[in-house]
Amino acid sequence: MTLKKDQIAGTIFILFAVVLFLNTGSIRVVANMDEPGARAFPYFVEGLLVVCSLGIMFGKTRKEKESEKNREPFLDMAGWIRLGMAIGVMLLYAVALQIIGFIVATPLLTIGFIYTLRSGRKVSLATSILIAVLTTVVVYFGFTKGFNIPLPEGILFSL
Amino acid sequence: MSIIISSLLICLQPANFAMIVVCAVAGIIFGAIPGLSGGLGITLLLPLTFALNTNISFCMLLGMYVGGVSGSFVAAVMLGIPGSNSSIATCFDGYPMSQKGETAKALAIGIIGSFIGTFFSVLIAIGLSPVIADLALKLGAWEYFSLCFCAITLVAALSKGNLFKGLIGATVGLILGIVGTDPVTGQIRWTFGMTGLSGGVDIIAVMLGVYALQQIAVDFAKGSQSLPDVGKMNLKGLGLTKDDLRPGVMIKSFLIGLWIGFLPGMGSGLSNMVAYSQAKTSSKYPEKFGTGIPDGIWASEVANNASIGGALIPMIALGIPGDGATALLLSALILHGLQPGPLMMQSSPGVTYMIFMACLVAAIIVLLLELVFKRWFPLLLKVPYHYLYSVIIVMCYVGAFTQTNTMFNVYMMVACAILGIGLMIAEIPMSPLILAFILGPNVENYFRKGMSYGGNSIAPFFTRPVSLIFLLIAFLVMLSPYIKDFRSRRKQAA
Repeated sequence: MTLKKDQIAGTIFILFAVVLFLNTGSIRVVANMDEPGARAFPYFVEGLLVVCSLGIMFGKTRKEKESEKNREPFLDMAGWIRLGMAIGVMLLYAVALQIIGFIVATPLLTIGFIYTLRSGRKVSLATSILIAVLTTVVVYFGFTKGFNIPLPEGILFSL
Repeated sequence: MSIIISSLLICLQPANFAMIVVCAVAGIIFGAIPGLSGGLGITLLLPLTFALNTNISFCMLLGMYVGGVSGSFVAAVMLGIPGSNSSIATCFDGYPMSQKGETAKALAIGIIGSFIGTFFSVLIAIGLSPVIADLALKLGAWEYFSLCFCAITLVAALSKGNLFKGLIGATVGLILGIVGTDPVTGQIRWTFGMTGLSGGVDIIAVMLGVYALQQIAVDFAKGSQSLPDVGKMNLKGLGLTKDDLRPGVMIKSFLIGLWIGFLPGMGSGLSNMVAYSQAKTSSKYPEKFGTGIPDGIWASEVANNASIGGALIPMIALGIPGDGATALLLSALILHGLQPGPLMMQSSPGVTYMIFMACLVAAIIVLLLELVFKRWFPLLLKVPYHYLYSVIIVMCYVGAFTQTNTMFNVYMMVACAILGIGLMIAEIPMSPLILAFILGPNVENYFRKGMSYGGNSIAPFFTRPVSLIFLLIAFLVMLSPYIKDFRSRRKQAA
């Protein structure tokens, strides 16, 4: 199982190196400069990535091969669903910040985070609302008034 | 001497002192709660420091750093779970001692051991950093390239798992460091048409993404975001007598911690384990280790805190971080317009010595706070995970946004978190990525300067003795697993 995972990871990294290699060709190199130029280091890194990818696919020591046999899978099915949910919530907060802004998005999403992370335990709605509102107010006033740093207003409210 | 006194006075100014106290308390809390760490605390603080002056910023960051490393023994003693990897070895004897009803003694050893480690290692850093900076000034671009290359290789090789996986982590860090404008010719590289990337991948987005958000998402997916309940325990008094002191163990562990902290990329996470195993091996009663004896806690706690001073030396003198937390401090120095490295002690002596003094003041504050509030430690471990982490997530988003005032950086942070999750699934370690990302631009700069000074030849990297030594160390470290493998095969065949 783990060996297969390494073959997949190695292949992805090689493909990634190829994409970068194709893009490196478009970097302009200033003529007559007495130094390797802007493409040299990217080419070196791409080469290193390919070598290391081949290394994780085929270059394991015996000890590493043996220890991999006993490794458990990264997540079970329920875990993958929870991981997808976590990524979804992270993206949702970013989009919400952009559209409805910090003041509206944060209390709503903070309550969402609390209920997502509680993992089956009972959570008081009143405490959750209190924490969500307090976090929003303290962070908002701390940054905008205290440090003079603006926070996202949201596209809807800046129209 | 006058600069040391004036730096100390800066740290003792009311606002700076208050920040050290507040952040030391926060650091102890972050260190004590398994899953959090002082490193995460520093990451969350970084964006807050943009609007503040350099002195107050570093008082905050160093209070968090010292508090974070010190506080990690609390959960190790009370729950048998290390608050962070710097206290893994503390669990071996701290928890059994706590189970025997000697929690107060175990905590007292942790508190005093942490103080001794931090305080004296920082004193040594104050003395050694100028010497190493002077030596470093005699090196050229070739040596610096090889030193950075060696540091990245060491971290990659010592990360868990296979060497190539460590190197892939480092390569991904280098790739993230290349994106944006070429430092020499100003050409745009690997932006794929996104103007937001022309300034490069933001360091805060990377740190918050791969350190904080990724960890929260993976913990949630694995369902490991809850702590066992803290049972009732006897916390009265110090419970420590003269017989519990182990000067020999303390001195040896201190030197091990200092040395491991000094080596690039290796910090408190490794030093506590090495010091513990050394104390056990050299003990007259090794069989008692793991049953709850003071020696084990002294070894682990003195060593992990001694790594603080050890890690500060290469950060200040060479511009190379000694561990993950100093990598973050290094990025803070860069964000505040300072240039860490051999010239920093000459160009910004005030900030340099203020960093050392803030560490010393923080060590004393942490000692006093921990001694006074020891009986409250069980409360730290009862902080509900879902409330705490929800606030941390909000702080991450605010931190990413305020760095550039653009939503692009927020998306970049989420992208880095997803990248981090992908790499974690592929078992690629994160520490080489962070180190390579921070050192990447320097590695390229030194490489190109070295080539340019040497008439576009790669030979000087191998013909200059110091450069050659660093490269040889790097190659030997890379080859060592295969040499070991080859030897064990031959042994078996014989």
